Amino acid sequence: MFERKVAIVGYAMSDQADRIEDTREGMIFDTVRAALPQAGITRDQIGTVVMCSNDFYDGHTISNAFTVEPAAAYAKDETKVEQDGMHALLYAAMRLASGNYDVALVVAHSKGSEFEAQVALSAQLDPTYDRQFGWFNDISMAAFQARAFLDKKKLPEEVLAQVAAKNFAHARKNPKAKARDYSAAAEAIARSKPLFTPLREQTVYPVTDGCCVAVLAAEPKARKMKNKPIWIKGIGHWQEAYALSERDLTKMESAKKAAKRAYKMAGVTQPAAEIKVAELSEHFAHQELQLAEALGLCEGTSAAKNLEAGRFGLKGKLPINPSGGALSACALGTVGLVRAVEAAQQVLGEAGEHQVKGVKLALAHGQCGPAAQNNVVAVFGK
Amino acid sequence: MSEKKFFRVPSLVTMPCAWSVGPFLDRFYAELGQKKIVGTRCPKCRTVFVPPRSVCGACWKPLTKWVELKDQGELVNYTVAHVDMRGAALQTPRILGMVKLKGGGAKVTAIYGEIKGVAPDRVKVGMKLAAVWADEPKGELTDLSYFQPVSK
Repeated sequence: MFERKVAIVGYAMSDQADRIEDTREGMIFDTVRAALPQAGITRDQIGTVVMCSNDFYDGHTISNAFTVEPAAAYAKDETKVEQDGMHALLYAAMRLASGNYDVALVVAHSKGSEFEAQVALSAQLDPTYDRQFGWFNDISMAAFQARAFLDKKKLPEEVLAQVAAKNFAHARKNPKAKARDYSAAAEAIARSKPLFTPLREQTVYPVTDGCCVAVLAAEPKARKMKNKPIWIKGIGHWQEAYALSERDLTKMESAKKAAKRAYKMAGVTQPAAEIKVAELSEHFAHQELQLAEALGLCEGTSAAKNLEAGRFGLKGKLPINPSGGALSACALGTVGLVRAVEAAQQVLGEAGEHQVKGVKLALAHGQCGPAAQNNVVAVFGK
Repeated sequence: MSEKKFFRVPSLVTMPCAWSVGPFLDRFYAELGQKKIVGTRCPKCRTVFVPPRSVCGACWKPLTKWVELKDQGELVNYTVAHVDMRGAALQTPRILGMVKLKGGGAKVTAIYGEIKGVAPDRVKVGMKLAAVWADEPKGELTDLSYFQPVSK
């Protein structure tokens, strides 16, 4: 339990586009410059800045040496997380909860147009064995997870296309989502270029450019700010084994445990009824179904059945990824923070055309590591 | 719209590394050179790790018990690759599998390998497979060339 409650009190997002014609520093500057007035703060009110980026994506180490200044972190206590935006949010929240600071800026960014995602991600693999095999990258590893899940639940591959079709339809209502053509229906998605079965081009994340900023504050400061505070009611972080062969790939164990912790902190006992909208980092279509089950968001035990019944659509009882999710736009490293900001917007009523009605509690999830090895889940509310 | 121009960035960075594989993988690779597959067993959870690990991550126990696995087992997972590691389309799809080898008891971590001798649309989890070894093993992972269905 946090000593002091922490809230999202402001935010800004760049376009989540296949290419932003600017340097990453320029992209960060523009986004942070939008976030500060949105939160009603000036630069001197920021106590600490937590950035989220990955040296391999940026193509040089200690890349935050250059991103500090555009991120309004000059001469400040700035630190960096190399996992996902949700990990950065958690770390920033802990810095505030400690009492050392009252206001934090969380800045997640990457420019997928500037690096080969599968090459960069393969650098995380064990060189003494996994790299020797020669067939592991982010997609092929997730493909094993997809096969294990579909076989266990006896689901046809077409269900993956249905997840993507739903999220693309949501993305059409999200002005920030500009990373791919969202016009395809399930039948076309199910025929898109096969990569590593059962995954296809359109059931796998598009590599995207983007920056996402969240302004956090701890109470009592959080109650005195321009915007209504959207409290982190509960948050959990868990990871499982690195090696694919040591994991039960059907289960999403670490996401389940992270959610359990978050729900306990938030006092949520029936997530399927109490959570009104969920933003999940579904880098691959099957992961949305696995996460929905692991996080207890389904009626019954089958996420696929819930999906088919329309429960997870924008007009359904528990919309999942009304923003379009990671399948629609995926600037690696920002994805979980985008989900958190989207969740906060839903509670605030600021989600525009993809607003869900009457949201009291919203859930956001972020992941990193092969096949969602490492997960953070948070519950947000007024 | 002007054409994109690229300029080369001279860089010293190639980052050669000389990682040690450690004594456990050292033995694993040496045994592959003898057409044998070895693993280590955790005394607490009884998992046999293939390739061998020196520590069981979940139990946090050092592993000292070596186990020789058979070079036959069962397919527990697979994917068919239609593209290479950088996304270029493959002429011929390749089948990549996770194989649980016999001889280690109930809990054995799957070894990775290519699967040949079966059409991609006929691959099934549960298939019985046997390893095909390189003619002249060198003590490297490539000594275990691929797996193929056990002939009946």
